[in-house]
Amino acid sequence: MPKEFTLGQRVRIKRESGGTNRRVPEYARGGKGTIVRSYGVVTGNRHDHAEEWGPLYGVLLDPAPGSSGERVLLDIHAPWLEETDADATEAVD
Amino acid sequence: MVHSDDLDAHLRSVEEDMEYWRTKRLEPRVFRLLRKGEISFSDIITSAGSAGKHVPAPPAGGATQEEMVAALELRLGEFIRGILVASSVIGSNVLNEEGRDEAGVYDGSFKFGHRRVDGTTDDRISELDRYLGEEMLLLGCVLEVLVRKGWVTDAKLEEMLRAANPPRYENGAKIVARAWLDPAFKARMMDDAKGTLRELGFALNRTPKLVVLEDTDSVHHVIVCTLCSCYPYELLGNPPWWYKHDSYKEAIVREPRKTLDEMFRLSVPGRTEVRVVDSTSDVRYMVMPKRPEGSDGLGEEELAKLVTQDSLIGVGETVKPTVAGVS
Repeated sequence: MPKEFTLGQRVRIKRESGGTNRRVPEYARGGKGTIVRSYGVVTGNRHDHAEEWGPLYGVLLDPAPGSSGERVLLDIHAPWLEETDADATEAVD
Repeated sequence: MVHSDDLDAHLRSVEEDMEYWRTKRLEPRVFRLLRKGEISFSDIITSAGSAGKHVPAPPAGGATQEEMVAALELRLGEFIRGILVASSVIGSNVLNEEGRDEAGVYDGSFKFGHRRVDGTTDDRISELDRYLGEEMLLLGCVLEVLVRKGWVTDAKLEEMLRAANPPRYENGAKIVARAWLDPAFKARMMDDAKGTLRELGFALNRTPKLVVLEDTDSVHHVIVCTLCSCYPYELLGNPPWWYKHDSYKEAIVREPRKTLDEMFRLSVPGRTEVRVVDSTSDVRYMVMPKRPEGSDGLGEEELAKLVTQDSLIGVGETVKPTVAGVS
C-alpha cells in the first residue's frame, strides 16, 4: 500500500519516484509544499495510465525562491511524496 | 514571451494540430487497413468522386489574415470531426484490438513524416489551406470507402457526423451563469463537479475527475498543464492555441502575475493572490470567474454571454454587461 497523507501535512517532493509515473514536472522536484486536496486513488483513466498510481493529492508548493510569492497548486501521486518537518503551517482549502 | 494575439504562433499551432490528426489519427488507420488488405488504393482513388458528400466544402476566404486563420481553424475542426467518426466506424468493424504501436505513437518504424510549412504569413496560410484541402479529400474518400464496404450506411454516417459536435466553452459559460444564480447548485458543483454536471447530461466518460475553482477577491486561479495539455476537453472542447504553447506553460508557473499582464493584458489587483493550478490527466480544472459588477437582475442566458473562454482558464476577465449589450 502506498503511503497516505493528510490535509495540512507538509511534504517534500522526491526527485525520482522509481516508478513508471513520470507526471511530476521538473520545476517541482525536490521542492516542498502542503497537502491541500485529497483525491484518493484515481481509476478509470485508462486512456492515460492503465496501472494505479496510488492516492493523488493537491500539493500547494512553497513559493519559488526569488519569486514574488505566488504559489502553484500541483496534483501529485503519493509515491512521489515524503513527509517532511512541519516548518510552515498553511491554510487548507 | 509570445502574446496571445501572436498570429504566427497561432498559425504554427494550427499546423501542429493538423499534423497531429493527420499523422497520428487518420493516416495510420488508412495504412493499417491497406496493409491488412481490408481496403485497396484503388478503393480510395475510385471513391474520390463521392468524397465531397461527406466533408464540407471549404468556407469562403476571409478578408484579413486573422479571418483566414480563423477559417482554417474551423475547417480543421471539420477535419477532426470526420476523423473521429471514421475511427469509430473502423474501430468497431475492423480494428477492435488496435495496438498503440500501430497508431504511429510509440514505435519509430510506424512514425509518419512531418511536413513543415514555411515562408511569409500569407504563404503559410495559403499553403496550409491547400494542404488541409488535400487531407479533407483523403478523409472524404476514406468515409466513402467505409460506406461502399458496407461497414456503415450513408444515412448512419451522416447521422454520426452531425452528432459528433465537439463540446465548446459555452458549456462552461452556461454552468458558471447557473452557479452565479443558484447557490445550492454551486454548492453541489463545488462538492462534486462531475456528478453534478452528469445530472445535466454532460457525459464526462473520459474525465476521471473534474474540479471547479471559484475566484474570489482574495484568490484568482489560472490553469495550465506544463507536462502536456490536460484540459477539460469533454466539457469545454479544445483549449485556445496558446494553452499548448511552451511559452505560456513555462512563463505562467514562473511569473504568473507578469505573464497574465504581458501575455493577456490581465492585471490582477495586488491584494488578490494569483494561484496557478498545474493539471495532470487525472483531475481537470475549470475556473469559475467572479460575477461582474452591474450584472444584477440578469437571467442565466444573459449571464452566460459574459463568460469568455479565457475567463474559464483564468487568463481573462468576464465581459461587462454594458459591453455585451445585455444590461
